[in-house]
Amino acid sequence: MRRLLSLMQKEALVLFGSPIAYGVLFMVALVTAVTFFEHLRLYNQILFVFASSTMGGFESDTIPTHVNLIDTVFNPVMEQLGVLLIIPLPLVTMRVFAEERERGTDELLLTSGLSSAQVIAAKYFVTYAFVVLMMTVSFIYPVTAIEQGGLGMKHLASVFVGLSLLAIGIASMGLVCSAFASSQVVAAASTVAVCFIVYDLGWTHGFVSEPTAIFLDALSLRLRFGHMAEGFVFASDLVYFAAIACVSAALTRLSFELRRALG
Amino acid sequence: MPGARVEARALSRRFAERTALGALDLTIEPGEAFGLLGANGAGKTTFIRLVTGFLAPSSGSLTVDGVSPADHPRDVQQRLGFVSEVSHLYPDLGVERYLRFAAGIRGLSGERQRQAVANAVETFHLETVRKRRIGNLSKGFAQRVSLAQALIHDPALVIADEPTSGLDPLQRRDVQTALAAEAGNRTLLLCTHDLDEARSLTTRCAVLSEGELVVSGPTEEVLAGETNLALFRGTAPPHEAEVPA
Amino acid sequence: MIGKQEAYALGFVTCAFGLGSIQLQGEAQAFAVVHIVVGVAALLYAIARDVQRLRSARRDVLSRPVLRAFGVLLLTLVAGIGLERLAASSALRFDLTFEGEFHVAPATREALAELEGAVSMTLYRDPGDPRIRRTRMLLEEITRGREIRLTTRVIEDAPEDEDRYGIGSSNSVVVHHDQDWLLVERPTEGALFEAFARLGRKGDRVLYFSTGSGEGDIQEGGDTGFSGLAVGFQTEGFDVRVLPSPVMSEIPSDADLVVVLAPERNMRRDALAALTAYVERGGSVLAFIDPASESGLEGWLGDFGLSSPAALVVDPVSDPVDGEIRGLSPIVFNYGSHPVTTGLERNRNSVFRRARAFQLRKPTPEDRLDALVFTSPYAWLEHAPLPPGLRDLPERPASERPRYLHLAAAARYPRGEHEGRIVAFGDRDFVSNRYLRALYNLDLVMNAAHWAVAWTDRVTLRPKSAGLIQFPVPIQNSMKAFYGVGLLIPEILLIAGAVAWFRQRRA
Repeated sequence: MRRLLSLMQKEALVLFGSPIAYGVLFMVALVTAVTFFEHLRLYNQILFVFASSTMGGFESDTIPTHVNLIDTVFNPVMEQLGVLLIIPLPLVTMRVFAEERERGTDELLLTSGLSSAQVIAAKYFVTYAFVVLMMTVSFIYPVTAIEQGGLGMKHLASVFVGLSLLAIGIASMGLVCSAFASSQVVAAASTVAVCFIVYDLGWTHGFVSEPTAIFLDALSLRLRFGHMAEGFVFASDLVYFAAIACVSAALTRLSFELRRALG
Repeated sequence: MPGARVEARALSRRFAERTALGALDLTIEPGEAFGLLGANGAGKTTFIRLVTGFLAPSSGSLTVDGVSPADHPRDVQQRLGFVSEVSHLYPDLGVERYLRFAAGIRGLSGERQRQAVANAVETFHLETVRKRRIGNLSKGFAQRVSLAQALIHDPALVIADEPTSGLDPLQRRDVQTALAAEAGNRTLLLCTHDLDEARSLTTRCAVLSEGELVVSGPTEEVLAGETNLALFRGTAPPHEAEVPA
Repeated sequence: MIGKQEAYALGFVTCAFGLGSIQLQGEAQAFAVVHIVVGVAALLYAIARDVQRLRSARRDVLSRPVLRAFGVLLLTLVAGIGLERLAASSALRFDLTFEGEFHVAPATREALAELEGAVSMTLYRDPGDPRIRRTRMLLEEITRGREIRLTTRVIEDAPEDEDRYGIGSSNSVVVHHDQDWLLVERPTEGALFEAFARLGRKGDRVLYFSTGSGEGDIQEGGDTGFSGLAVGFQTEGFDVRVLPSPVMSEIPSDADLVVVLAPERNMRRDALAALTAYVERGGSVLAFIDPASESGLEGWLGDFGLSSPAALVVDPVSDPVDGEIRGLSPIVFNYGSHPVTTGLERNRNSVFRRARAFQLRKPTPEDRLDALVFTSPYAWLEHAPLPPGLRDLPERPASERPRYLHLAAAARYPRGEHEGRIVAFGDRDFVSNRYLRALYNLDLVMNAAHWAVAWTDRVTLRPKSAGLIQFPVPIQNSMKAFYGVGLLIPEILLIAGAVAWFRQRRA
């Protein structure tokens, strides 16, 4: 455990010793705040138009049902941030294994008495902790704004969990790419591309048979965190993200062993 | 005699169709300073990786104090320190932080860790740079840091892979002095291109060529033969080796 | 020749662009095809190189550590899929929606419980309709624990159902109850609740609407009509009938409730006497009065201790609503504690339109009068007519002090073995078609009717038809938060990044 803590501490120091981590935190926090604010402003504006011109705007038959906090604010913000996360996160994950390999420090780690499972656990844990920190920092403004409106804090918590899990899913894929790739650039490019492909497969409904489309849709990241955007946390979605993390860790372990075998 | 005993019997390692190391028989006695010489691609690094447990042998056996690194890598790794080239460090970390990390992953904590770091800083004369970022150190200092991390847990076996590679003469002398100071306290396995380094730091050595052990014996004798020097430079075929009497 | 790793990256990137193009265009155009072909070729090339390498190093690859790692991977994958499927079949979920959007309202459960016999629901959809997931979740939650058959059908596959039920669009639900059925085109919980109620509640309480003295017209379907109110009562299980007040000398003996919707003309003395006699013998009345008219009903309410001065309520904290100037459409500030207001809280508003207030004074000590609905403490009564063309809040007369005013009241009159009940509202527009479903107006009036006929188990909050948060988030506060923490946090991070950068360079 002591060894694991030392390695986690080193990972955190390396991560925060570089301006990239702060750059990613800055970018995500800023875009979250601006996106959330813009949607909130738009939502209030639409409601104001309805409330001031026709009180019947509050009547279900008159006000469009899509004008509500969930569909006008939470869902689009989730959607945009979900896609946005695919860009900066690989910049963080690309370094984790590929950089060690480029510098040759992986050999030091793997010959220092640490097991490969410990190395993987420490690196995954610190990356996930960074992801949660990133989402926490990004959510300070939305929490403040929604809290003042006295609305939807539970729902916002669901959105937070959804985006954090999505980010963990993307980070897991990034870590796998970093473990297999020879260079950081290849790792980052592959992660972005793979995440874009896996992000949403719901569109395949028009192109493949219904059962295949349903199967593909079930693999989509978007479907899973989409539930949470709507305020629903399904146990199956939690298991899905946990499975992504575990399978990624197992793939990383395989990459270690293959490297040892192939030299 | 303090130190670890390394014993290889018919040790071989292949990568796909290529044999990186073939049927190597070698024994390094406890406390011995042993040089592993050879041109690039001779199999030195493969042998080191087999000793550290980073790679598993394709056939044959290898033990460190009777323990197989392939089967029990962590048991062996507890007993060894590994010095690689200068670039194999974390440039973003400070010297002291890095040494704390090196001690931590070897299981040292609390007072023992503080003491080990303080000793390492003192032994390798790192006081003036203890707060500096490794990436900003000169190559000589960086390699001293590398040595310090390898010895921080007082290992029985130290493996140094090209420890003076890329250093200027002064820096090289610094590192060699540091390594020489450790001679006798533990087993030293030194891989090097540098004949002078091999002569000054090792008592016995072996020359590898194309994955095969072509000659081994006392360093002075092995390096006395012109053909062995040619082998070392990779300009003569293995069968021309001059075996010491 | 590019390396294997670069080929993987190229393959993934070009495939992502190709698939993205198909997703956005809805079809595979040349751009997408070329990208996918190049991408797949690159991936195949990389895979072939890997396979070649693995084959040549077969012995090393088939070593124990690699096989063990591969086994762990397979095991993790199988366990992951298995656990996910298990979790999916358990349907375990946590509803974190605002006000528990998917927590089915008691009203819906009760309405469903009253459906005796076989019930089934069919959700009709188009493939890929994103709304289906949400509707399906709602239907599953509603039918949970009940033997209700729930099926989903693709509209294209069921043309006969499309014709039979008149299904016009995807995301429509047909609710079957024995031989009856109802089509719900926008299946929110509110709409489904009404469908269940209509299918299951056959009017077993008789409600009379008084008509003929200028009362609100329950036949009128326009914004100013009250047909929605009549339908609402029917949905709640009332048998709605009309009672012409000009010829009314006695309230029919089968009447459980009489509703008088603010007559604009004077009510006949006989009619008012009939109402009095009706209450005295234990009848129930829902009386609405309006600032615009004096019909005698106000005096009649006054006789029962519910007097209402001929004055307009002005509540300055109520914002302009629907073209009305500020203060004249009082939004409920708070509710009194009473069975009628069960579940109604400050953030569950009702809104009135030009209302008058009640002053409560018990006619006899046994009577019980309760205020149901309060204005804010800044409200006052405007006795003088408002000047024409007034564009902003009228000024408060010096003689008026700001205070809480009562916009609605409930009263009980024990008379021997009987107990008459009256619920009085100082406005009728708030139950017009235009405003009935605004905020919690419908709940207020329906719960009043249920309480009046002692049907208290039906006092509940109906699921909102929209079922969504459609209240504003205070934008001023949001702006303060945005320019406070919203931008401060990124700024701090930027500075921290710069500090990290310079420390690195300097150290």
